[in-house]
Amino acid sequence: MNDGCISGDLYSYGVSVYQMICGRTPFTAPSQWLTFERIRSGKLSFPIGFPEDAEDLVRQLLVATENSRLGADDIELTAVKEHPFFLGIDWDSISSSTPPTLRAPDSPFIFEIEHTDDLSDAALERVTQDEERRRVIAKQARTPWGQFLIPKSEMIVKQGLLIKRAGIWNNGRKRMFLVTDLPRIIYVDPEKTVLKGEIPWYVRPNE
Amino acid sequence: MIDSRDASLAVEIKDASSFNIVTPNRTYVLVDPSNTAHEWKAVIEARHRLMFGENSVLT
Repeated sequence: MNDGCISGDLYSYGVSVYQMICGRTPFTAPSQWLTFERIRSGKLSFPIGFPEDAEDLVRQLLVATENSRLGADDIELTAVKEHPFFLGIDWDSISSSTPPTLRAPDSPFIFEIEHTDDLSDAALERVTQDEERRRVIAKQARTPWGQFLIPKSEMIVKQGLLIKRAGIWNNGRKRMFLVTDLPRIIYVDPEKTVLKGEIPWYVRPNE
Repeated sequence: MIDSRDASLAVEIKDASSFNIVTPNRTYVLVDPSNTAHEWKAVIEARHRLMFGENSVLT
């Protein structure tokens, strides 16, 4: 149990180091689900300008197998402290030493355009970049369907008018169907702009 | 965690304008007047796989 706690801390420490150095989290993705997918895939990418020693440290911390993370076998974290990233740090007197002056990086970090084909949905690639995504979400917010989306985070990936039939004896009702990247499928009465329902993606265990 | 057995989903195409979304509890019978049933199938299945994994969509 204690081992688990230490290695969990080592992982989140790796995430913190990454973010403190370049200002982004290591698994940034357009939605919460995609973020989870990235974490699960374990694929790391580092911007140009990210220091090599720091990259090596982060790579050794963000390892899926918890016992393989740097320092996981030793409560004193000797392997972490001796990593080249911390060269010159006097760990014995660190609590009484003066912290270094904060300064901006010499040049801005350059992030690669993020490829999401490894997330098995090539269509997403076009909207992965934050700017484009924000623009699309802002545009969708101004449509009649915007009110049914989670503000500033949920994006429609397909929409269209469908006839939803409720048995073979009637003609069905016209509904605006929205598939979003939450992901979820909701449908709206297009004339009254009233949310009529959601198609559940799964059965909750308690139901 | 969500058990993928509770998350099975299928999109059945009948023709270009008719398809069903089959969830564990209910089947939704849908007609697409613009004949893009295949697009709906592709989008819904891709989203479902992203969420529940490759084997969650019944084919």
